[in-house]
Amino acid sequence: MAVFDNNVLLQAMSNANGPAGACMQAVREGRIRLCVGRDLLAEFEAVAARPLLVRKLRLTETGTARFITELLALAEMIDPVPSVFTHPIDPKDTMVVNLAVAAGAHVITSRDRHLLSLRDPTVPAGLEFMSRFGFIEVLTPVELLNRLSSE
Amino acid sequence: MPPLKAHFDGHSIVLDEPAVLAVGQAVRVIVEPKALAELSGAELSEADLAELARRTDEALKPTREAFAASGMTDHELAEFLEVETHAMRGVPYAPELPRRE
Repeated sequence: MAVFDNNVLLQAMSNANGPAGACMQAVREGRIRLCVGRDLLAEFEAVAARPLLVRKLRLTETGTARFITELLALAEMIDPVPSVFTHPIDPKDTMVVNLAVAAGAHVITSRDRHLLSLRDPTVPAGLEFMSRFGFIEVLTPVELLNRLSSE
Repeated sequence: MPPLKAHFDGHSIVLDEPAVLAVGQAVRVIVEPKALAELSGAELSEADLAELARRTDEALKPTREAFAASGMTDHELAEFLEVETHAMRGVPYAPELPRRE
């Protein structure tokens, strides 16, 4: 079970040929079990509607709706998502961690440096995360793909 | 909750049986009519999923073409998205230097 952070999802939506797009394809093929939560999808919708994204990437409401519809069909909706962790630098990243914990996920996939810092035991947040949730790995899309190809 | 029975009718995912909605308002607003949140965990056939994927790709074609025409690398796209997301959150996020891939 895996959680993709919103930028991985947005990247997959915008470019099917990159690593994030390949991760989404793996979900489609059933090689990754994905989970989503309400807060995550609400933020996804909000970011996808930002004027600069809409203008630069020609995002449309229909395109975003189709993508979320497919996500809902493919992924497991986790609800409720109890709050068990707070990211000290970016509190919004907290929802990704809490979703992974609630789902019993083993992987968070992200390129966000704040989330990736959670695998660094030399920073306090990383130390807390690893000691409490050591069963969850934070992997970039490329690292997740490498993991899949080695299995 | 047991998997819900549903099918793709060519436009939306339609539940085959009544169900209680379980997804937040923000999501319900943007999913297409009848494409209810209960799709999460819905049992769709492989053909339905393939058709859903095809239609998603079709709807995203302008976006993917815009990305291809932008000249951005995938790395630059990722950084652009990170900056935008963090701007919305009100959390500073300095982009990495551009990297050619």
